[in-house]
Amino acid sequence: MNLFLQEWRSLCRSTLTWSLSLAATALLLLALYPSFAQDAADFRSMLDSYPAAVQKAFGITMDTMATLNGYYSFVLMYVSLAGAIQAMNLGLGQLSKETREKTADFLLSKPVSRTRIVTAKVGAALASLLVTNAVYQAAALILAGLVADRVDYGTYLLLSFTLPLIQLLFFALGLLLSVILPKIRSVLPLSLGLVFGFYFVGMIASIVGDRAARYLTPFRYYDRPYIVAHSAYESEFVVLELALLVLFTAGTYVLYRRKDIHAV
Amino acid sequence: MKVMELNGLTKTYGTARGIEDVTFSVEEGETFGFIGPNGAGKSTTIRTLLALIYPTRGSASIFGKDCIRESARIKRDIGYLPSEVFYYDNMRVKDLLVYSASFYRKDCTKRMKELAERMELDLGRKIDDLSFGNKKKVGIVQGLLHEPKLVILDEPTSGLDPLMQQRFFELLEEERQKGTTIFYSSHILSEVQRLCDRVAILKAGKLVRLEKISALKENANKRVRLESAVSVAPDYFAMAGVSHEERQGGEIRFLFRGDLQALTGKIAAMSLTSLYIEEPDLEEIFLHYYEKDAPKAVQS
Repeated sequence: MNLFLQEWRSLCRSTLTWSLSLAATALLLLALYPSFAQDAADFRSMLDSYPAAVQKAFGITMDTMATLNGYYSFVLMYVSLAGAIQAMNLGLGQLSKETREKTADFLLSKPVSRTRIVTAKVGAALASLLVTNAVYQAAALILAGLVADRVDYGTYLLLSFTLPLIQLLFFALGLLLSVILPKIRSVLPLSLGLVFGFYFVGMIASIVGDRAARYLTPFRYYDRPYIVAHSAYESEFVVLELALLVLFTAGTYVLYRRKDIHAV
Repeated sequence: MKVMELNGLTKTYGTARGIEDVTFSVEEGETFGFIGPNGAGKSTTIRTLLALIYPTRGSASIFGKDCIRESARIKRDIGYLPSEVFYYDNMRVKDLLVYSASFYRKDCTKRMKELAERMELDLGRKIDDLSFGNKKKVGIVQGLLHEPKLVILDEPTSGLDPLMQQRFFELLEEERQKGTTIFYSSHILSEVQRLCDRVAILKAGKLVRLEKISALKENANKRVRLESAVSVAPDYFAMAGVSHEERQGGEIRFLFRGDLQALTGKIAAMSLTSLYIEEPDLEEIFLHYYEKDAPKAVQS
């Protein structure tokens, strides 16, 4: 428990920053919804002037854009990108920071097993994601009621919950990478590179419309137009996510237990 | 009882050198020196014992338990001071020590205050603001805080001023009297000579010698330096046991090993203005192990 609390304490500040930033993004973009909905016709003509490929890349279809859930899908594009960066930072950082900050000798010479170390660090990171989502989801729900008259809360929540689903996958991937890579000197550049990489793969997948390409990037596991249309996730991707989460987490435990923790 | 037992412990890093086939054991209550030049593999050995890195071959046990499989259990009774100390920067000294203590099942508050006072460590300071020497003190207090049965020290005195070194040695002496086993790794031979009962010498990843400090000194040459008022015949000291004789003005220097009676008889017959007979220090005894092309020594 001491280990968890120490980890949580060190994540507190960034958790607060991320929570408020994500909520602020939602606030800014959702605040524009009422005027957007009013002038939907103008936007439609503007959007139509873009090439079809661009429209696809951003996952915007004008038919749904004028509804709250359609508009929120567009908001979530940015929110989930930012959220993925937060999760990737946590994943890459949690285990590697002891080596980076040269505190590994302190921690690993204490009477704790590597398994317990991973559990405490993962626990603290999950707590951070939980708090971030609690703040974000609450803000998103309240804002929905403020900017729209009638809200389909069921679908709205399904859309909202793609954020933690995407975050979990990026977090687990980051964790696994952090134990595979010999040494991570700086988390942020690597994290940004990976997340944007997956993001662009997602955009290309949208343009090409190739279903197989969707498996390559967590950003496309939860197709928002599909959720708006069906009020459901595509079950095969939910199963895929669960399988990957189990695989990445188990891999992290196994590899971290065997890993040589070098000095320097 | 053996507190520590290494059995053919080997760690290789790809092509880089680690340690090779290191075998020795440390008895309970012993102060055991572990010396060698930088890069000899001292830290690698310690980090393997603590399961920070895993051995390529061989095994080691502490308190009769396997170092790798029962690592967490063993560490309850180990205090470790790493050679380079870095701590969570945003913590105060007290926060860190409380955090450190929280891993052990005992109340260390009183001992923390006591140790901090002895080492003149300000508990309220931020670790970030501390000098290297003061960080080292935090490391020392952290390592001794939970009254471990085995203390592992890796180059503990670097950065400490002479007064603090003295305090630190006093603390270690008290630990020793309590029956604590001390494993003292250093490249500073005089420290090891002063503190330890036995010493293992590591060079280029291999154990080159394992010996009692007292035995080392017995087998070693004495250093003799004398000055005579009158000139001394060039072959005056041509006797068994004398070597490396040098003369400079009226001063004669040589190394002696053998029957002291014979030597003092010779000296008594001279008219001397000064005389020194000195114990050699470890430095001289081991210097040749440190030189690159040293003859390969047998493991005792």
